[in-house]
Amino acid sequence: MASPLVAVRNLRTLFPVGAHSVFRAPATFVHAVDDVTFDIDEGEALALVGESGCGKSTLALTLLGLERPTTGSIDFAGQEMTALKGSELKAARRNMQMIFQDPYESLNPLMRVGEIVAEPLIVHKLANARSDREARVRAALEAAGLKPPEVYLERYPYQLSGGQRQRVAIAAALVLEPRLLLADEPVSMLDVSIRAEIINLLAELKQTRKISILFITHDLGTVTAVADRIAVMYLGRIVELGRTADVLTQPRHPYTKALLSVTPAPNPRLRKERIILKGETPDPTRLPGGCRFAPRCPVAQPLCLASDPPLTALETGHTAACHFG
Amino acid sequence: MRNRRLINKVAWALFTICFVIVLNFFLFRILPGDPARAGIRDPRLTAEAQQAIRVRFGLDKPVINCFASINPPKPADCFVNPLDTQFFIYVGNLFRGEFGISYHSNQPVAQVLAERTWNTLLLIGVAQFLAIILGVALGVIAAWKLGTPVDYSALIFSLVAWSLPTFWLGIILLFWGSTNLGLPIGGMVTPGMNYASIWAQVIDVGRHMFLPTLTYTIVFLGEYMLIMRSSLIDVLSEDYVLTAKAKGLNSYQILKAHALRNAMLPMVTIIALNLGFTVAGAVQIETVFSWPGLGGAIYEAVGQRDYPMLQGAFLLLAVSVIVANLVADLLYTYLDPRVQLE
Amino acid sequence: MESQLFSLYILPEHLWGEKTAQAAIDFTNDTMVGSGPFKLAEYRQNQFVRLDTNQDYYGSVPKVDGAILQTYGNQDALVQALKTGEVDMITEMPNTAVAALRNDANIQLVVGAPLDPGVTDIIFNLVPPDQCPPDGKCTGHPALKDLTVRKALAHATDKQQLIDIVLLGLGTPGLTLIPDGLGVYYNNTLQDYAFDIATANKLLDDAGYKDVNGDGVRETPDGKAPLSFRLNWAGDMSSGPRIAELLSKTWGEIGIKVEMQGLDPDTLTSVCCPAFDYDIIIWGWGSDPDPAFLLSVMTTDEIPTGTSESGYSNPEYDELFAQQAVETDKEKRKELIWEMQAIALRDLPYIIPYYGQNVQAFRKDRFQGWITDSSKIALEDPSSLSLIEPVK
Repeated sequence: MASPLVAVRNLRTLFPVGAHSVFRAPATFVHAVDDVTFDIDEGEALALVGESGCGKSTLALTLLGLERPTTGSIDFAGQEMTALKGSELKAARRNMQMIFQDPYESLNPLMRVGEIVAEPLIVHKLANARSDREARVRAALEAAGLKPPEVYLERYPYQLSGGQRQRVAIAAALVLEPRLLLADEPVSMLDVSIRAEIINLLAELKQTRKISILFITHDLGTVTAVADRIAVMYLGRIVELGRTADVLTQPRHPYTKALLSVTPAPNPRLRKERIILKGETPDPTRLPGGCRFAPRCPVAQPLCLASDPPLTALETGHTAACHFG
Repeated sequence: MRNRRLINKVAWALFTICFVIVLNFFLFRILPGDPARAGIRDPRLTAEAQQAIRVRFGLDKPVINCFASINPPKPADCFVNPLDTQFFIYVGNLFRGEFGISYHSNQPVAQVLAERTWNTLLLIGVAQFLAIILGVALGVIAAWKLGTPVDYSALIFSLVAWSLPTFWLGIILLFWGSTNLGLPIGGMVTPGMNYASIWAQVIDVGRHMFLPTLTYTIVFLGEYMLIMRSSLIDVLSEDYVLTAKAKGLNSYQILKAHALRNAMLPMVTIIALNLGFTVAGAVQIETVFSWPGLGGAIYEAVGQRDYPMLQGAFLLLAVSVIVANLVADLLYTYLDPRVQLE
Repeated sequence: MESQLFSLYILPEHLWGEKTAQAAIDFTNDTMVGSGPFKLAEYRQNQFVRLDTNQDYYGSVPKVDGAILQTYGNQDALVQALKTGEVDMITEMPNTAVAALRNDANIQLVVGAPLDPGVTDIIFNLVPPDQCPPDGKCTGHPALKDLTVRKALAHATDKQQLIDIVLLGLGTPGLTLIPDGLGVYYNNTLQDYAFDIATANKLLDDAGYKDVNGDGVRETPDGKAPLSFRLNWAGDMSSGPRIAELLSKTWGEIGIKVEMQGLDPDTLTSVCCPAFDYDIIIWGWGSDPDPAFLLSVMTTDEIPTGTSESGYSNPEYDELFAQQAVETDKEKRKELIWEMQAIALRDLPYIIPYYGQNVQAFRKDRFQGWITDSSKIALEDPSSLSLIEPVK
């Protein structure tokens, strides 16, 4: 079996918090990403699902090298990302591109679409010939579904709709022909009618270009069309990981079950009982001793407060971190 | 679209200037007291001599139809030729570039203002240029090194510079510069010099300019730095900056391609407004350093109740503020494509 | 008489004989003709005047090649310019700088009456409503028309304190509108009202001005009006607020209240005279070297013109004024003028707090020979500039 494109092992990213200044050292840390391990295969889409604040965006930024991990390793196409610096890091980043949540903020308002899409080529000194560069920009725009590209090249972001802007962001990512696309809530700011288009576009890119995708979302409903596997994240940890169908039909972790129960089902006859979680997510600087989910868990037992359950393999490729899963 | 907006803006600016012209005229007529007596403050003047002065300055004519004067209101014939009233003579003179004659110096106001404005522009132009360059540079460095000792030092320097009273800073620098650097204390040139070459003259003016320019630069540096810093901090937290980082741009490239231009947008407004107002705002510095500029001229004219001078100077100031705003507006259209739609 | 000629101009008849007065007013005197020890070489308004020595001067030709009179925007800069040697002499300085300059070994201070003596005055509105000039309002407080009240106010005015605080000691106590700077015309034999709160209180008590309602402010003998006066000053006088503050303190000690307000000079003119819509004003006069004008301020003729600020009217004084105007014997004229001052001090249309002194300074290491022993101080006067020579 071929080695995965991305292999993340025991990754931990901590942030110092509280009154820290040049004069005082930080006392406490936010465990944004805490001991996370997973793989992404070539041409595979992994959905990373969790509530906001669970650490999914930090995980993406850590993969990109925009945040330094505290410990752990990231193997990307055989290279240890955490060890890279300067030009090596820059070269490696060429192969992983990110799409952000809000297309109204992720595009520089003063640049034309053509300039935005061409910028990565210029930065990475690819396609130095003008004609070559223009051809690649056009191709990227077409691949992102902005056809014909001539219409869009001279436009400014404010002249485009939200969906079109997100396509520009995708085009700017595609122009480098990356192997991994990190999509951080790429549709949550868009109109519902446009969401499907963008998700289908990502699915299509995965199919035709064999691009691996890490699809970050808080909404399980949006992942089915694109994701091969789902990782559910809670408070910096992956609590359940498995094939999309398995996780959706046979969720093993109470948190996954709760998430699924509030997701609108495509088929109204499959109406389920909603599980409403009690309480707030614990303060990430002061985590409970046992299972992190225990304070909110509807089925928690005394054992859960005492010991933190490890990720346990249940069936092929399906793991969950629950004493009673 | 762009042209219509341009025409619209220019038309509004012209309308505002017309309004200011009218307001400026009546403002000085509403002030209490007889302008003729205010100008020549000698109680021994005979009634004939006072009347002769009124005739000389055109004050014998009615202010406008139906009003001989406004404060106190005195009625007059409503059926005089409007063109023979003070108001229309004033408007007509303006169109010929005449601002009247100074009560104090007996020279045409336009001539005095032109010379003084040039001196002020020289001082302020250089100082503003330096303040903008240094302020922006310091602001960028501080924002880039956010939270470091470099940032804190720049921040404290700017806050102090901004809050220093101009007059006090000027006096301190004047004492320091004249004692330690041997720089001249007042004026624009050394009186009675015969310059060997144009360069000698430039150097002499430069030596006189040094301290006022330094004062002015420090005073404005702080403001520019603080605004640039906070503007850049805002921009640096934008997603497109993060996107650029993710695309592999290094710090310098991000600053150059994305952050600076966006962060400069609020600066353009501040700079334009400052440029409009600073013509008047240089009063204190011009007073401290005896610089023969417009601010000093206004200050003197207030003391001397030189109404024609004040009227001309106010008009000039109002027009420069309006023009500066117009320029800021138009520059904004050029810098920020989003503005065109509004 | 000779000082009246001061403001009369001589025009060459062959050029001006046929022309009207209007032509003389319109004439811009750009190329000046003169006969003094210096010639105008260069003039930049509000910057400097450069004078060259007139080598053809009929008197003794100045020993210097010329002089530059430079204008500075503020007095602190002026003092600094003298200290660094950018200038050799300064004609004025803030009184606060005097102490520091006095200790400078290279600098000589010269203190004395100014060349153009000015006078600061406290004016009382004396016009009764039934003698109001046309267009007048005549709203003055009735108590101020009573000489006893004015005398009490004079006794309650601490002139030395005013000099010490407002002028930092650089002044002499004032008597009448004729300042000591006018030399022989100044009557130095007059006895001023001594500062004495007890005397002032007694004057008011005896005249029936009692504090009947116990609020600390006296009322008029009929009990109707409190002795509360409006006290205004010209907003362009930096000393105005300080004088008013000090007056309100000592006058308060004799049960007299003032409502203080600085007014823009134009507004002050419009309430002053001939409207007489005020109680007390702090203001001032500039003078030429002859006392005639300052004396005219107190004549009856000047009430409708607005030159008389107090509205003082006394036929005896008017008669003396008419006599001195035509008296050609200098000594006799002086006697008349001295008598007028005695009357003015007796009747108190004004209280004169002080006569200001001028302080000038020059560098001892540059030029010597300045005239410093004259009764008036004017180092910049051509008479002084003609005598100086470089220090060897």
